[in-house]
Formats: sequence, structure tokens, C-alpha cells
Amino acid sequence: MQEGVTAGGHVLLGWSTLWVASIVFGVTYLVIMSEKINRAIAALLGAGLMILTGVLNQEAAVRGVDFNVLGLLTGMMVLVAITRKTGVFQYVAIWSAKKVNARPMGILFMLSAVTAVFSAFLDNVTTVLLIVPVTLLITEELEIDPYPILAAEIFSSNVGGTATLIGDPPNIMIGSAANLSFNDFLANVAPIIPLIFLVTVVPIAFLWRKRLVTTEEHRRRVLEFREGEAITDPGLLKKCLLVLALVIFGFLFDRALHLEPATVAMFGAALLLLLANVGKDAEEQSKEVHEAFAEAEWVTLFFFVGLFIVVKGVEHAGLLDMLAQGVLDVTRGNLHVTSYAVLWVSAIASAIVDNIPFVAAMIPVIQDLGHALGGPQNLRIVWWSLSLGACLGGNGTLIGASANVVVAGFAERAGHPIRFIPFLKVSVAAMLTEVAIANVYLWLRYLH
Amino acid sequence: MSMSEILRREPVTLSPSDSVSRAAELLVEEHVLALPVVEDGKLVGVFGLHELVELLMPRAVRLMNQGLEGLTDLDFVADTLDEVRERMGHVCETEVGEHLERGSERTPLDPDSSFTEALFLVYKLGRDLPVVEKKTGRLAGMVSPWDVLERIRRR
Repeated sequence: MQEGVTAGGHVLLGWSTLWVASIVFGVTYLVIMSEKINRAIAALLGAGLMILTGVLNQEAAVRGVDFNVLGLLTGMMVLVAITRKTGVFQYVAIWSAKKVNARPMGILFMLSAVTAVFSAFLDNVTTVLLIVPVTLLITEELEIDPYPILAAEIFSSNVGGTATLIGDPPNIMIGSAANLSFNDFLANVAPIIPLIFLVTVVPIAFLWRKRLVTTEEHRRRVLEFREGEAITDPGLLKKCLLVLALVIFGFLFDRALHLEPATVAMFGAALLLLLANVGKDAEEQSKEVHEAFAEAEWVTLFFFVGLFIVVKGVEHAGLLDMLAQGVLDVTRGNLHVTSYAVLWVSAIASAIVDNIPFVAAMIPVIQDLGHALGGPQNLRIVWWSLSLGACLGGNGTLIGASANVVVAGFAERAGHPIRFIPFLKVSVAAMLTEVAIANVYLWLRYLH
Repeated sequence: MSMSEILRREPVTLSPSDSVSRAAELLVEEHVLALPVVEDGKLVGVFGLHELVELLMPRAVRLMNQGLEGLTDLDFVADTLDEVRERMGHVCETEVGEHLERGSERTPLDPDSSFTEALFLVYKLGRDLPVVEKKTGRLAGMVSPWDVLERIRRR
């Protein structure tokens, strides 16, 4: 009997805790997958049902919420909300396009690289929301079809996001649950990302090279962009860059400083709010702070809260122990088989459903495998498999990651729709290649 | 006092199949900020200076209204007047009906609406407002910010 679970293992109507929790979990996940109801509503309702039916009490439910994940996400969202206003992201995008003389092929590579680097440090959806408008502006001036560049940006956002602890929510969750630091991700996941990036973007550029043709006259228009004018507030920009540097420093040395990433991100957010508002009157401060907080993605944050509680419910009820046992029965505790299975299953699952709920449920299952696989050192390899699989899997389909859906939405409204099936032909090939490379990497580096 | 007192009945209207160039011409001729778009006597939307200017901007900017965030200003774009005219040329051939904002056919003003409501909408939208008969959905007329101001000044 675990703490926080209703005595006797029976809940509502005398049904077993395991059954009730499993049903609530299953229905919640089905509703999330169906996308008929907003995912935050579905997750919060599921969380509420876990408590109302007596699977968890409120205290146990709250203990299930990983505040390290929430704090890190919120802190980064606030930092980006303030930095965005300086125009620096536009500046970088335009600067990079001009660096390659506004040649479409070069722009595809540069904007993809910028997307990958931004995604490694920012939320992927935020990154594409910043990069897509500049992309559309540039392709409009060049009078070229934005499709190849937008597709490359979708892939790059997922590939780049895989690289760091803070790049993609699955990594944040894995890092927090398995106590893996920013540096652990940098040393173990990031090294393979540049190769995966190139193997993804080069074929795309080649495949769609005929669409990437423009005239001297149109290139001149882009070359006449004055990127310096994009910076709207140089004073604020300096403050932002200072705080972002401190935050990255904090992530790099979090172990030495005995800090959790959430502390670093939230302290950074508070510090930047201070620097951005110092000297302003009370009313103006209140308005600015309100705006910065309002830009945090509350739907995502509440989705996480609900999800953590739903997963905590089935964890308490013992379902995830049973799943872990099931995994062990299949893989017989073999580290090779387990790692590769986790990599491929995560990739395929994440291509079809949102990787956040998938990883939320996988984490406790993998934690249970620890002993059978020979301890935490071996388990780390499985964590890298989960990270690589869940993040790269987002490239498998147009609905594989939120960033993909966002880009597709804007492409459609800009009059250049990205359709599911034509995209699928490219995305499946890209995802399979990427995951195959990750597989070889895991083998060479850890399992050889 | 109600709308019927300041209402301009039988205003100049657009049909959804009218071209944008026709709409631009009428906006200038009539010297109004917005024209009602009417089909079979019923209001289907509003097309005004705001919609026209929006069409003259790069597509990426137009998407900003729909949740795209990346562009904080356009100071760095140095489009020449000729390039804007070129864009105008493309847009002019399209039909007004393609550019109606969803929901712009739903106006809260009917002939019985209060003067304060009209004042409030002028404050919020700052342009000519359609007035629609509640039951039939037919356009009863238009109220311009000038009409409102004039009515206040006239004793």
C-alpha cells in the first residue's frame, strides 16, 4: 500500500483501484489523442477524476506534479516573452538570410540552422512562431514557394529541440525525473544532433531544389532589408542577453552550484523582469509584468499539471509496474533490446500522438526497469533512447509535434498549404533515417 | 434617442463579387471608412479602409492578426512605393467577398439600439457602422462617426 492511496485498494463502488485508475487513464489519453477536446481540459478532468474516485487524495496528487518541469517551462516562457519584444529573433533570421546573399538554397540552410539552434534553447512552438513570419516575408519578397523552407524548419525544430535538456518538453521531464543535468544531455544527446540535422536538411534541399529559384531582382529586395532596424529596443536587448547568458551559465554549472534547472530559469525570469522594469512607475510595471506572464503558455502548463496527476494515479494503482514487468518479459532485461525497443517504440508513438503524454507515462515504467537492467548507469542509456525517440519521432508526421501543426496552420493561411499525405512521404523517410542514425549512435557509443 | 434618428438609409453598398478596386474607388468617392457588403439585401460583412490597407501589406504581416508573433515592426523592410502598388495591382483583381473578416456581418446595432451603444462602438471601432434589422437581417442603414458627432453638437 502506497501513501495517499485509498485504504484497501478499493475506491468508488468497491471497484479495485487498479481498474478505476486504468479506466480514467485510458479515457483521458484517448480524449487527448482524439483532439476533440482541448488537451488541457481533458488532462485536468482526468486529474480531477483520479481524486474524485478516490484513487489519489489531493495531497498525493499534488506530490505527483513535477514542479521542476513547470518552473523550468514557465521561467523560459517568461524570458522569451520579454526577449521577443526586442526584435532580436527577426534580426538573426534576416541577418542569416543576407549572409548567404539571399540565395533560396542558402536561406533554406540558414533558416533551418537558426530554427534548430533556437529550438535547442526555446520551446519548439515558440521558435517556429518567431521564424515562420520572417520566412514568409522573405519568400514573398523572393517570390518563391515557401513550402521547402517551412518543411525544413519543421524538421529542424524537432531535431534541434532534441539536443538539450531545455529544448523539448520530453527532455525536461526525463531530466527532472531521472536527475539528468543540462550537461548530461549536452554530452550524451547533443553530439549526434549536427549529423542528424544535415542528413535531414540536405536531402530536402536537393529534393525541392527546383522550387528554390529566384531572380537577381528579387534577391536584391531581401538584400535591402535593414536588419539593424529590426532591433526595437537595444537597451532591453542588452539586459536580455545578459540574463540569458547567466541562465545558460546556470544550466551549465547547475550541479556545481547545487541548483535545479527550474530555479535557474525562474530566477532568470525574475531578474529580467526586474531589469526590464526598474525605474518605471507602479502602473507601468504592473502592465509590463502582466503582459510578460500572460504570454506564458498556460494551456501547456495546465496540461502538464493534469497529466502528471493522471500518470501519478496509474502509477499508484500499480498499472505502470505491470507495464514495466511486461516490457521486461518481452526484452528479458537485455539492455540492447530494451534500449532499441524504447527508441523505436517512442519514435513511432510520438509520430502519431503527442510525445508529452507518451513520455509522461513511459518515465515511471522505465524507472521500474532500473534493477533488472543492472542499475542507474545502464538505465541512463534507456533514458537517451527515450529522449531521442520521443523528440525525433515528432518528425514522422505532420501531427507528430505541436510545432508541425502550428507551421502547417500558418502555411495554409498564407496560401501555401502543407498537406498530410504528401508531407508524410518525406517526413516518414526523414524520421526513419534520423532514428536509424540515433540507433547506430547508441550502439557505437554505449552498447558496442 | 435611437439609431433611426441618425441612420443614413440606403447607403452605398458593395456586393461580395465586387472587385477590391471597385471598393477602393467607392471608399474614396464616398469618403467613408467602411462600406457594408450586402447580398440579397442582407449584410454579409464590412469592407473598409482597414481591410484594404491590410491587403497591401506582406502576407506574413496579415497573419500577425491570427496569432503569429515574430514580426515586431517592419522598419527593416524597404519596399518601394512601386512594390506596394504592384501588390495593390494583384489585390485589386480579387473579390471583396474573399476578404471579409469572419463575424463582421454580425453587428450589434439595430434601429432600436441606444445612442450610447453607437457611441461605444464608434469608440471601439472608429468607423462607419452597419445597422441591421434584427428579425430580417436586412441592412437598415449606416451610421458614421461623423453622424454621431453631428447629432451631439446639434441642439
